[in-house]
Amino acid sequence: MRTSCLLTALLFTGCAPKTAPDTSWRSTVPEPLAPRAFQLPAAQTGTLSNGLSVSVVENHEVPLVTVQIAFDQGSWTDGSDGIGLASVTLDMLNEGAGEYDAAGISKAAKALAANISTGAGSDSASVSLSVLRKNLEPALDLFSTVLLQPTFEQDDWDIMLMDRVASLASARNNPGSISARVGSRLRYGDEYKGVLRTEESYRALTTEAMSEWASSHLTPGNARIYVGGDTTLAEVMPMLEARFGSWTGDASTAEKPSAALPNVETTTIFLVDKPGAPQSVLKAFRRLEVDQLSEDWFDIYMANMMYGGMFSARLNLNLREEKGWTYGARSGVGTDYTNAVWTASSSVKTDTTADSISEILREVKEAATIRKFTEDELDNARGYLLGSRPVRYENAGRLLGELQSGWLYGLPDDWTVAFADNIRGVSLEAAQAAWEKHILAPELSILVVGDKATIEEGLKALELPIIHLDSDGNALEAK
Amino acid sequence: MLLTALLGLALGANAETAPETSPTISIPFEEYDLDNGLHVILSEDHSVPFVQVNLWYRVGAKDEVEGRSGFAHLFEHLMFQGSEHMDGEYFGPLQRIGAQINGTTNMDRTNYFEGVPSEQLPLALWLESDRMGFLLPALTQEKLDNQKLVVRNERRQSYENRPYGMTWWWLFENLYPAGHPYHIPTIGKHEDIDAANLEDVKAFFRQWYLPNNASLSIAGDFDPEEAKALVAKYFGDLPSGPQPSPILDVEPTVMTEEVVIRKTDDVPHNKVWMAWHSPGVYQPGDAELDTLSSILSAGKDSRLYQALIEKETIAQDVSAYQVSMLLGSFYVIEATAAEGIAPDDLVAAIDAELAAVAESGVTDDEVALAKTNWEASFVRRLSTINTKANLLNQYYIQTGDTDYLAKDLARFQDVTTDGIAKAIAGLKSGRVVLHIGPEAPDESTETEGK
Repeated sequence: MRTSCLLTALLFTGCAPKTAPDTSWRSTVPEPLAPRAFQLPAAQTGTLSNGLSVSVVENHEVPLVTVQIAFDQGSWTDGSDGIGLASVTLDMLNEGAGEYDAAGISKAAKALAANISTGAGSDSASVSLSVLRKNLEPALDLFSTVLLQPTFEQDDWDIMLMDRVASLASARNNPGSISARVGSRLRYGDEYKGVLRTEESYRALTTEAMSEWASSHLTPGNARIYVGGDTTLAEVMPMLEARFGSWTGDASTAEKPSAALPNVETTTIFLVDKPGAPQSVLKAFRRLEVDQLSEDWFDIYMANMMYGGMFSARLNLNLREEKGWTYGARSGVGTDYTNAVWTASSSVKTDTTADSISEILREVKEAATIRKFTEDELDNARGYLLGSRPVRYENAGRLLGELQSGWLYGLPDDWTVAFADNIRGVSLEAAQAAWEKHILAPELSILVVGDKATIEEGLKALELPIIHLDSDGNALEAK
Repeated sequence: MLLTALLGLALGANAETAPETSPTISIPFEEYDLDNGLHVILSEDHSVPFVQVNLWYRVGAKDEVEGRSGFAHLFEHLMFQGSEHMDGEYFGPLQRIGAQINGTTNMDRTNYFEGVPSEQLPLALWLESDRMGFLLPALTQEKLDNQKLVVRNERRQSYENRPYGMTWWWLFENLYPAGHPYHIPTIGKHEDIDAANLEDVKAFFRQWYLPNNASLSIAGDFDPEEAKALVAKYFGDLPSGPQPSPILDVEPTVMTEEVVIRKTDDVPHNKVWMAWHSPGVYQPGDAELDTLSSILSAGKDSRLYQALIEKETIAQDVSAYQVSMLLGSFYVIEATAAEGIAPDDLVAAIDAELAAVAESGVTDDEVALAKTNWEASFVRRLSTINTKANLLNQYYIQTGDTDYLAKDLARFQDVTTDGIAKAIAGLKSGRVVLHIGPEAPDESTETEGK
């Protein structure tokens, strides 16, 4: 059967079912089996005697437990005299605490097969533990020492400073990192996520400042505890109470960031030269008037899914599967303490840079005019988001992460549960309207990190203003 | 608790009443062959209503023919472009039911996987069987041309347009002589990818993409009798072909000299890689080198971190790892030079520390710590049905023993200080030392690209 089919294929262009009638049944898409119910995991909550809230999501598939203490304090608190302070402070927790030096923490963690990680991003900070449940108690001892008794030794800061400075050089060299770093500056100006870390700003930080920041910001008043895996609320509460129940410290009162740079007045190209680059890293973005609490949030979310939120969305099918200009193209709606930012991004072959930008812009426009979104595309996006739900919540981490986001950004308690109905509730008309209202707009910022010598001429032909930037995002003198 | 029992991954006893013991590490499964030679592995796990379908083919980049480097991976891309009875993007019908779908190619094998909601198991098996049996009728020049461009962009994005992205390229071509199956990394050369034609695709498909050269692993929420009937329906009538002979054995490459390669590139720091030939995956010495890596570079108490970063400021970072492959592995120590440190001095410092470790040996304590963490890493691997489905196929295809998990862990639990001493002794003077650094500022008149 197969041989004759293949021979046919060699001789002619196709292998129609009629030449191999015994396989024609395969052309029928199989019917699904009886659907099986999916039960979202649920969190159980408790409160320590100092008021610290604990959420537990059980999962007994493997004997692992994760414990995370999260703070709504991140580099948004840094201020101009402490750029990078939150991030460095969190990293330094793991460098020395109580009786342990850095090697001592590492060795003690290994003895328990425990991973303890610490870190701060722009919006939050956290200290996390992952450990086999049989070692949970002793691992919690080490974990609490790292969080509550950091030593902030100068020697360790010297090593970390060297590492941070070296990382800056890497960030200025790697096209993807340049795009991320400069993109943040263009979106946020010189505040919040736009604050530029430099060698000078790192050198200005002191271990005293770290110690002070930790005492004033890493407090139970600013914290929540998230536990997942092979344990129960009843089992873990006494363990946490013993280590964190008498920990004191109030909530910070500083206002969360809201300032953000306005969008450009006309679509503008920002070009960072990367001589010899075989691809250009593209980001096209604009700030929206909405956040996750806005009435039409899910309409925008679904419109974006259809435009570029998945492999089988328009942007990727066009730039990758039709044109072959890229390995992939996506768009997304990013959220943080400020209004959402919509971004379409791709790395495209250098000689297709200008054409790719034209296509991104054309797809934005045509989705509102001659190629409006269709019911089929909405079904595709909806099916993708709803169908994959069971596996997304296979481990406790996803739900815990959503609970944490809900806390940071003030989302309703039933966010995760209601998500499915919120997605189902988006009509094609509503998604279309959201696209036209929020995303279809003349003022997009287009960041290009690529080989200027090769691409500049094509970019000029787009007849958009071009602003040249260095790899830190500073404007260069016009030539 | 019922789920835990079904999984076979229990704590040994009820946690509330019994003392804590080491977890029992196992994945329950059953396996059988279809008449056409397709191997089938079924592993139930009803924790979520989702099922993972995972297929391994015994063909990788090592099996490519001369002048067609990168072809196994290019072919993998074409497997997503449609087949006779579903002629279109596979992502289309799969994403709309919520499937998680992908495929990967490495030197030794190619795999394909999709996780789907339980009730969609028939759809996943339908598509996998259609591309196993009926890929070529839907193949067109247009699809091939498009995916050649996509794959060449993958090469640019993942290798060329990132600092040190060509490291692997330079290591492979210097570790393995021309003609060796590992001489060229999986991604391949631009000109070879560009040269691939429809005849190549057809020949490759007919040679390798046969039920008797594949293993189908299904893990997750399914009824075994229902799954067996579906597998029989969709795969049972695919004809087998001449048994393919993937390369499983080559004359070991022996390096007696040190080969030093110096590259200047658009990179921020001076980095060095030292690479030695080492025992193949699952061979004696393989687990010993993995354990040595933990002792040398895992954590701030590790030997190389202490010697090169903590006690002196010679490196910014250092990392040791075994790259385990079927035909023979290689062992790597890589490090970034601290400001003002010459790459040669960095290499000398690493050599000095290696010599010190060889001289005094590693301690029982160090080996015990490493073992403790291997156990945990095995447990972590079992936390998703996707990794379980893939691991079962990996064991079956690469060891012939689907039930290899406990033996795999035992390889690590049986490592001794003597075994590690032998492994270190195997890191001889025949090796590749690769330096990649920025152009020296005073000789930067040439600004050639890569």
